[in-house]
Amino acid sequence: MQVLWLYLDFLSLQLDSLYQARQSEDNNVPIVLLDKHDNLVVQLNSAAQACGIRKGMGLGSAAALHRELQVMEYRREVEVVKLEEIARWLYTCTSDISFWPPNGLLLRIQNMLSMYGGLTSYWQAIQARLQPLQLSYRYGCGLTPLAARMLARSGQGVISQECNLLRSRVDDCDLEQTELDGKIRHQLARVGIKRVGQLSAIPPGELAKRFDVQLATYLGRLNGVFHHPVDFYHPPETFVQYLELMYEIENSQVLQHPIRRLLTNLENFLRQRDKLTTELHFCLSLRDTDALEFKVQSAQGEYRAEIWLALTSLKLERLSLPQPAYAIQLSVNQLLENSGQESDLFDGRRALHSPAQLLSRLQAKLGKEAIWGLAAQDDFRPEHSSRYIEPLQGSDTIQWPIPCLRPSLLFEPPRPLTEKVSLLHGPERIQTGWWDSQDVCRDYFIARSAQGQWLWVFRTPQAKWYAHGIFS
Amino acid sequence: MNPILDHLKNKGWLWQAEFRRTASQVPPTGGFEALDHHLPGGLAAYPVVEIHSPPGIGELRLLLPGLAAQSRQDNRLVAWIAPPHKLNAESLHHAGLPLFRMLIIQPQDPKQALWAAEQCLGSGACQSVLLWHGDLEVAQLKRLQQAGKQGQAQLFLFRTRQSLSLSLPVPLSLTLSAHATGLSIRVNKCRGSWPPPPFELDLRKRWPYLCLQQAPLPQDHGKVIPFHRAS
Repeated sequence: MQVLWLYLDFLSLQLDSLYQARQSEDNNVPIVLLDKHDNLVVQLNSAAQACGIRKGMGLGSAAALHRELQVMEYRREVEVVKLEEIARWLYTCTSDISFWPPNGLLLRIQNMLSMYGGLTSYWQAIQARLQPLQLSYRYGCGLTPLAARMLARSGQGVISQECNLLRSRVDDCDLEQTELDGKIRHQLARVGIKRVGQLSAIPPGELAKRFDVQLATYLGRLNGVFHHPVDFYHPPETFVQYLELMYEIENSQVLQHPIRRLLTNLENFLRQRDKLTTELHFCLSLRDTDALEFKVQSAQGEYRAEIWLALTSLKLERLSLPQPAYAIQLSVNQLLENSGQESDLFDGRRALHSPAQLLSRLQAKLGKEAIWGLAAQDDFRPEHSSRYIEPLQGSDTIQWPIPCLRPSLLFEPPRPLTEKVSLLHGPERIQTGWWDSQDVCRDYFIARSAQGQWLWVFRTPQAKWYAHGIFS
Repeated sequence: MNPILDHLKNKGWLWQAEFRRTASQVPPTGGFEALDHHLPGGLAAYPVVEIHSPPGIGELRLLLPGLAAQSRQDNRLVAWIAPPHKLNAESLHHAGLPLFRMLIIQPQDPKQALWAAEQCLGSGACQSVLLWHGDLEVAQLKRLQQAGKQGQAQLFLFRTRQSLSLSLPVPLSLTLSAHATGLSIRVNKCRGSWPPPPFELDLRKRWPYLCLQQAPLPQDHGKVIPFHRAS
């Protein structure tokens, strides 16, 4: 089967991926991205286009055309990251995806055509998949990767699998559209070769004699004579997404909106893999100071954006931003299998939340240090026999004898006894703990204060009296 | 009947003096027997129970048997929100409460305590919520009630501050004070009927060491067990 490639060329990837709270036409602020090295405009939005700003313009002339022009720095790494997100997004539609950084994706499509029943419906599926990303792109089919790339970048939008048509389209292309060196192009132009077709007509041997090996290799790959190795994309096991904000955000509540977008992407990611996660890492990049990192945890594995958003907003309430944030990164490292939740259908009770879900909510808002479980420990010392532990973790198997008369509330630490009490029962001596240097020697009594409070008091060998608990 | 009266009655805002809940209306929970005897409908019939009590006279011991009995039927959590001191696992275990279903919440401030209480009540994951709180406004109480209704959970509200205003619209409000044989209980408010007269609750049987007077000895105590001599 003839190999067929589709190349997607994203024209303004960094610009399109900027978070725009509302991509509305009414607040038409012209934005341009500027290449730092030569101070030329490389990407611009439609508003900037309307002002007369063009690609390749200098900063001075662009700024002169509109006084509210917003200028941002072009960053190749942002595009590369975004490209990977697009690949991940497209992966559900098509299998063989290869990166052409910074802004191109190459798809090997001939394998997919039988699944989609032809090129037309395949292309429709790809377009539909790309539509929600709201990116502007050019596309083109080709018999070789380089041919597809060239046709895509020429802007002709050729979607076809007919070899003759594709070949003739390639032959029609100007040498300007190839990726050849300016020097070689100039040399070729001087001998009257202006189109790819003219170049291909020359026998390769003749070309190799007169030009260097780069041209021969390029031409061989373009025409499919030479094999062109391509690395394909494999979806990652973990989720990392970086979102640059259109405006710096100072209020942590406002952050909810971009975070919702990230969480929706996470939901898609997890749902495609049928996985859950229990922990999200957020990293807020702040102006003039170190990035702020925080975790959002759920005791129960969860994938739904809605639930994560509720937990995250509880966390955000407790957070104050020292500096405005300009970017958010969400990463998830641990994925769990979705094992399904079982609850008794005939329980008769509407279990709105499971205990683990309740715990996640409480922990998100109050902090982990505010929620505890309770466990007994085999120790005679009251400080050790009752412990606060991680919530919902304890067990109810107690293998040792439990003393029957103990106060329900313990003072921690024991308080010096300051009021007059009458001792009613006791003493009960507790003398132990010599092995861990927290040894105690106490005589415990049950006492009643004048107000009728039942206290658990003890006397130390130094005849000091303390109250250790109340029989509430 | 007057439709307005009918409407009010259906809403539960109006009740008639002869109306008494019968025991059959209330699922038998056990454990609260001592109290159930005095309260129309039993303690379990009241979704919110407000308790005014000085600390340490037995206000928790009053509830522990009932909570334990409920825990045997209901495998949901018991939430303790802002208890004044550290809970003792041994005591709760001895009372029959399953320790692994205890959830202890120590919020930073009373506002967070209310939030946590509302979450616990409304989640459907808790059978009972015990909340220690000072001042509560009517609107806050209503929210808690609503949440408790949604999650089918009972709220025990310990008023830590002795406030004179008893006007909170709680279904049941008790004032406890110490007594030689246990507790002396005054019912301030009891939805659906006139509050019963103050009564003493005898805890001597269950907590013999935590009462001033000893329980009367059982009748057969003086029986002499014949000592078998080896012959």
